[in-house]
Amino acid sequence: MVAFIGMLMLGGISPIEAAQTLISGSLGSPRAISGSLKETTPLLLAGLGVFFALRAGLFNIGIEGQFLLGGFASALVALAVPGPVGLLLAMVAGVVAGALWALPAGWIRAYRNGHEVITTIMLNSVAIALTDFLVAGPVRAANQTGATTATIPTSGRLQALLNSPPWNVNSGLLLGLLLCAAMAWWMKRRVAGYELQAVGANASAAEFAGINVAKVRMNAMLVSGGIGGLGGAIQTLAFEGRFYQGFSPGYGFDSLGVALLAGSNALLVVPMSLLFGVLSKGGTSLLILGVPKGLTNLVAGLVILISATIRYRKAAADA
Amino acid sequence: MRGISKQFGRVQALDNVGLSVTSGSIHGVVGENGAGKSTLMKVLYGAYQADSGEVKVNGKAVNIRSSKEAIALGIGMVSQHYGIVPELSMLDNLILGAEPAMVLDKSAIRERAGKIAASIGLNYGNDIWDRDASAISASEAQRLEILKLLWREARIMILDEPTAMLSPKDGEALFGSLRALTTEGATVLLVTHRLPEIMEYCDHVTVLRGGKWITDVPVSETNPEQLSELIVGRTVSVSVRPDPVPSAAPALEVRNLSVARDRGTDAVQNASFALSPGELVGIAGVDGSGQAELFRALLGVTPTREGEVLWHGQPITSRSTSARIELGWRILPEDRLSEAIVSDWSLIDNSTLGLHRLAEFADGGKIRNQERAAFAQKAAEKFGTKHGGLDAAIGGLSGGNQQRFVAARMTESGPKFFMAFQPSRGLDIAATEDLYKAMQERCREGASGLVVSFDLDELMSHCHRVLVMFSGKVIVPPVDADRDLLGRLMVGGEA
Repeated sequence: MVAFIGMLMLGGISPIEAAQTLISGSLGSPRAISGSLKETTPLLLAGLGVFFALRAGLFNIGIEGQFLLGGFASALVALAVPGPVGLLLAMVAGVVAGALWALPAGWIRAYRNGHEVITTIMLNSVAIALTDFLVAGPVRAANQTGATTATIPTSGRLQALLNSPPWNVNSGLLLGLLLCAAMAWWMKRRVAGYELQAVGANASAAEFAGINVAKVRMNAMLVSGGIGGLGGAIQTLAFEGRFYQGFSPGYGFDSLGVALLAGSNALLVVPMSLLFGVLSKGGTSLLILGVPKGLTNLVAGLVILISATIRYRKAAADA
Repeated sequence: MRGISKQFGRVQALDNVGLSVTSGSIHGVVGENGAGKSTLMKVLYGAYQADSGEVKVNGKAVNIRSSKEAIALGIGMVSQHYGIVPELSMLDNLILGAEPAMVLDKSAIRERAGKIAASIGLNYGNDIWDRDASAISASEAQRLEILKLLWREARIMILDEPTAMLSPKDGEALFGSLRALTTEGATVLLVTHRLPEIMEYCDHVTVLRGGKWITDVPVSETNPEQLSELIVGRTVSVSVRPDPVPSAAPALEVRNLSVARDRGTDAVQNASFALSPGELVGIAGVDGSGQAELFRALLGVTPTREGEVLWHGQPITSRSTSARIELGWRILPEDRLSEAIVSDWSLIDNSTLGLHRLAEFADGGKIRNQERAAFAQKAAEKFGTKHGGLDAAIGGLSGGNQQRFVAARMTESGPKFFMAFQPSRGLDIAATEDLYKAMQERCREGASGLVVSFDLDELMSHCHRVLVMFSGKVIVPPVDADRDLLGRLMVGGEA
């Protein structure tokens, strides 16, 4: 925090003014709140994806790539098949694309013991390059100057949950919340959720308990990627209406922090994604004051660092 | 040490405990788990600070705040977990952290190392000092730990359960070394739960119970029965070896089973044996003779290279672990922390680890919470696990209490066949007896059990029959084999 204030002052900006701008820009008006919730939605979905893998002891850094592929695939399907049917198919396509993009990493981890962090980072680079290429060439909309697909008609998009300006909240957020509740329930009440978390907490004990560790890891990675892909699909179908170069400003990477901060409780993914959503929206307002976006990322980084310190101190005190 | 008290949270680990040790003697410290033995030693060693009380070394009051200060005063501890770097040679390990100078004079170091080894009756030449520490056995590692303390000029040595991992022969050698040290004026503090060691090798013994000092007597004035009463605080019935079970169609049969190691020779070589229904069979042997690999292979966690496992005549060699659990197989694994529990999880969550798919605890894919909580309650009560609520993390319990809980998970979940690896690890005399009684009870009901232990006496006094593992081979001695014969087989001797 001190570092943040110090840097603001170095930039000749009053910290108090900056804080005011950040808060009013993200929570100060119905419009601002709607904007924060819009930022929250992809973070919530991608955060749930990362969280799911994390509970199985896997660090799915590849969520960014899965998010991109999901967003891309859903745009193609929604453009090909119009109306509500197309919408449904587009979401399924997003899930499948995300899961497929996670599959190599899951397989290598489960059956060849290659670390998922390495493989998913590589898959991210490929995902970015691949979608950039496809959208610049093969699937580029005919009449567009930028590298983008055509725009999906409104009938093929996710509808607003609340649309009475200045309020505007999309149903994609509700899908995320429902998924979060379902995941929390599944982890607590289902045998499969129990097994997943056993593998994450102590893989060798899980083996002695008759759990097929490789299979659980494989499936966890697929589901995680599928959720990431769904996040991308919702981003396309709820907000963007198309897929283009630079589709994600790094939602996948921010969601790593979301999931880490949520710790062991799926329900905590909601407030954590909200926190990051607010910071992201408020950070955009700060740009007007001349505060670079990197500085708000720094705040997010500090939040992670501080909470990690607190957690490790607690762990050390318990030991 | 006088009037030592130490509190952890609300637990009074030590309450006004005194300990006085004559230099040049071997002094035993005994007590149940949680009696405060280890805490008292850690206070002496500087790992813990006492809340009150004083420590005097050679008549001088001292305040020991760290193990560094302890070693400067000549106090060193050999713990159950050896601090040896496998990548270094024996000699490098010896001097690690206590190098005599920035630039090492190897020949001087070798000379002094040799002298130190000789002082405990070891003839270590350069060939031994240059060996890789990764290649040494548990008993060699332990001796190296002692040598490390001597290198640091320790005069008071604390040993915590030093024979836990040793064969009887290595144990005897160890005490021979310790005796040699004391004749030169060194002092040994021995924390143990094995009363024969106290009776045979110690001069004096201090008994602790529940964090309190109970008594302090010369060993010559006491006997094992009296000591165990003092330790437990009540009379313990000593177990008698059960009569052999008449042989019948085997419940479990192992035929020519071999288990591969990562490289080199097989970890288990052509093992063949059978267990009758109702039979409790021990597997004796020095640590590392292939018991762990046999255990894992029988459970189906690691694949077998060759051979067959039959369950009531049905081959099950290729069945998964969960299929074996479904058959009624239950386990008590060797390494509690990495194989038996999830430390962050509650006792309730841990109670069904491995049993979680059984119909009793799962309704389709749904966890049956009530049945699970009831089972956790039953498992905690069986051997008197002391816990702070079934919802609290099991990692917060002492090792002994964790062991009680996972042991009950095995015995109370309707086993048809059970495998226990070092079941008494971390348990006191009374709890060990209770556990074996429960296992014998299951066998009377028709189950079969296999118990691996490095403690031959423990197996001989509780099992119907004792097999021996040595260097990957399973030896099936005659049912009436005596202690001498089994002990010889354990170290590769002839029948």
